[in-house]
Amino acid sequence: MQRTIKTTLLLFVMVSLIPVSSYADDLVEYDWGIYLGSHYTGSVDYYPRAGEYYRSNFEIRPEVGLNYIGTRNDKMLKVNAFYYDDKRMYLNAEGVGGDTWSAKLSYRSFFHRTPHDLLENMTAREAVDPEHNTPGGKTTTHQDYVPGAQFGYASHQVASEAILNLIKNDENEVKLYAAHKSIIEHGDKQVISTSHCFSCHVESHRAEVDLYTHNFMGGIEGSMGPASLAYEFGYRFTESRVGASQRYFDEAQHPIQGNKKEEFGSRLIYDDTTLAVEKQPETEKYSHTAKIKTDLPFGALAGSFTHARATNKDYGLDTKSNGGVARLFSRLSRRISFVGNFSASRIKDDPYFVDLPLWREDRPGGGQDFDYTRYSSLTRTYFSGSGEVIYNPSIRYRLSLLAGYKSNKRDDFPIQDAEYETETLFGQLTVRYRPSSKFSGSMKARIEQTDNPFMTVGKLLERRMNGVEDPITGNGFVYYFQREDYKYGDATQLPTMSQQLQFQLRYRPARKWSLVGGLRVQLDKNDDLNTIDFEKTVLQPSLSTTYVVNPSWSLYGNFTHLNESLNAPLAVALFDG
Amino acid sequence: MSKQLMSMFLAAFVCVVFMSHISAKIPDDATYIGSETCGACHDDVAEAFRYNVHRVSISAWDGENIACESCHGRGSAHADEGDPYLIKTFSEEYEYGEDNPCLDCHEGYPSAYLGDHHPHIEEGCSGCHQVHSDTENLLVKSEDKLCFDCHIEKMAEFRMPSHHPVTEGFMNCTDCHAPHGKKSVQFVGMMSSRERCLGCHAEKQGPYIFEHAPANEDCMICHKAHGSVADNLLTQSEPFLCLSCHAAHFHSTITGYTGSVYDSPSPVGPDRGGQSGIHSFKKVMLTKCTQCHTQVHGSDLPAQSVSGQAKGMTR
Repeated sequence: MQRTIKTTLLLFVMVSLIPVSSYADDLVEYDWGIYLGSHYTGSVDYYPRAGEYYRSNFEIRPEVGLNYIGTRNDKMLKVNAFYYDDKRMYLNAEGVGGDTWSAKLSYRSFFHRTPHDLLENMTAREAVDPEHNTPGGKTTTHQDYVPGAQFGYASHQVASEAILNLIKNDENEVKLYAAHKSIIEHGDKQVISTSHCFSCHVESHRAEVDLYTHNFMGGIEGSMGPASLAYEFGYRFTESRVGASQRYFDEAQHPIQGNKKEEFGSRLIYDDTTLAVEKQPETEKYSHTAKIKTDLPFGALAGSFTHARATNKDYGLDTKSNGGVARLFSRLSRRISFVGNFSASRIKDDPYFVDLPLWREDRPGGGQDFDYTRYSSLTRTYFSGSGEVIYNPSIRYRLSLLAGYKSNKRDDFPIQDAEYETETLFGQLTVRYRPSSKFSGSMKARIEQTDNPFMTVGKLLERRMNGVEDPITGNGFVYYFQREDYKYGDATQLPTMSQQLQFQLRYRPARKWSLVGGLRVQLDKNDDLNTIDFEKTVLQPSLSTTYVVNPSWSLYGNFTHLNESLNAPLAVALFDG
Repeated sequence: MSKQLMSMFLAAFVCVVFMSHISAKIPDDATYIGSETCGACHDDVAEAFRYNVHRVSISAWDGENIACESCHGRGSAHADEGDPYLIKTFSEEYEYGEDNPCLDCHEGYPSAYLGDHHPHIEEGCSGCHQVHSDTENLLVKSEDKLCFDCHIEKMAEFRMPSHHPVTEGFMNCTDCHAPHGKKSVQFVGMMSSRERCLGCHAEKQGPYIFEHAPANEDCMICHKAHGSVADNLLTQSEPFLCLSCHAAHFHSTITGYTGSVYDSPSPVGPDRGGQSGIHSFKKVMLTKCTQCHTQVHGSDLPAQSVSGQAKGMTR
């Protein structure tokens, strides 16, 4: 990993130096600067998330920054860099070769602390008498094999972008472009796994992180007069260069008596075996996009169509999507414009047959087959359309009125009342007013009404179980899975009605001094649930001020208070549910 | 009285209309004077403009030292008279969809016509960009501070305990947002907010054999994008987030034994120590669901239980 990063950086520096060398003989303008500084973040107790992106060591380290800019006629090179330590630094370089080419390269890294769950709540044993003095069979235990460990990973991001103009004149333009972004995460993390047969036992281990995510894209764009066409190709893949963590899953047996292996084992897919845990599949995604844009006598029209395929390479599962967007800008009059947005897409995920062993095979009342085909909740059809009318009576005012409709029809995932489709209507009014160069203000009001928002159906609350209505033949026990049929409550934290109101006022008493005050209010509500109503309120006043001392120095202060409250269904099992 | 008011209003209106249509008039016989001449008076602007990408690009077009006059027009009359109306100047305010001189060259930004983000419509490009400067992307402030000027509520969210590292300088607003609308350079299939998250968190892309439906629906059902008081950018802390869609595990109702977990009759498994209490099962079952249900974004590896159809506690 370190070698990869070093190689990448070396390549990066070499590429950055190419434009420098090209005009080293005739460097007519350049400027550079360097700064030294320091920063410190510490935490005194076990709470690493307080310094999520810092190490929180008790240390003060120097940090160094470097800026360079040089130009020669139509060429330019900019470089700026920052170094704190080998896990936190960045380097940006940008080159411009007149109208012919431009390129950007960047590297940055930061350290991300990840949590360490101590699992200390995971200790319990059942009591089988009212006095809580007689231990029963149900137990939960835990073991942290890496006590005191601090987990985290360094995230390195390398990105590049290049544009080459093949033709560029007043009428026509043809350009090639390409870009790349890689994210490399290297460090360690906590892996928690649970074996819930014979004892419910939770274990914590350390696992290495060495994850690579690469994005590539390239395209060609041509403009002829008022019209332009483009094609774009994209590819993304992820891979982990370390094997998955392994975990031994206990042999199923009675937790106290140590017998009944057939009874417990016959309910399981696996036991007494070592298997991978927390393994993310290697994935890839392709996309092809065609774009068109053209000026019209009354405005402009732009559109694109994308075909994409994402693949789980471990199991050969595909998600295919096809979709398009179109936008229309129309100048209805000198003061009134219209913007229309339309999009539609279809996503289809492969189904997968989950083949399971028979449940409690050869046991009394057993032998049930729980096989099923997993149809994906992702398979769906989207549509959205909106129109915005913008009225500019003068440069001091702007009013816009937006209205739109969205639908999301899922093929295989029912939501409320056995519906599969979520439909949303929305409207928004925006007013901006600037009576003078000293004052300006804006107001935005938005309302959204949704039928059948995404929700979990029938997973909350249970009817009383005075005897199972459909007992398993030949068996008097009530098994856990039978309780699922007794759940009935629907729940979501998505509203059927959302209202937002936002104000902002700016006052500039002097050329170098500005004050900004704002208020945001939001009320979300869903009273269509068969449980309790969901309601969310947000209230946020804010105030900020900026004073520009000179082009190099500015003073900035702000205050904002965010108050968010939520009433939502929440079910805790009591007694028999 | 009302007539007087009406007259005053009309007079003011006429004045405003008249003033708003006063524009620069560069004489036909004016000539180019070169940027050095401009810099003799406008030295502060000229200094900043030395390393400006516009100066570089303009030099490519004509090869002459007329970078200032490429946008401001021929400057000899203005230099001779000092009259600001003899040179082309640009107001900070542009009328929607027209008269924006930046779009003469930057017509490639679709939202310049199609309107995604308001500042360049309301205030012109100079609301965010200082065209003469040599700053990154010619921004008037660093990117986060510039965005926070208007989106102050997002700044508050980035101050919360769990957040994306924007205020630390390790991310930019434009890593996720495209202020000019869709740029020509963007990565695969960014048609939904979910795709925007997967651009960096692609390991959670799937498709998985065992899915968690909200993860397919919208990341924002469980997460906040900018910052949250709950860990991992969750909209609420566990277990409340999970319990708002799922019933709590019924094992939380089990009364706990008071004493050591390993008291006689001792469990078959090894002695791992630990004390049990009356409410111990509530602590186990109602503290943090992801201690056992670890794979909340989806998994290909089945849980142990046959009757749970292998999907309850994937590993």
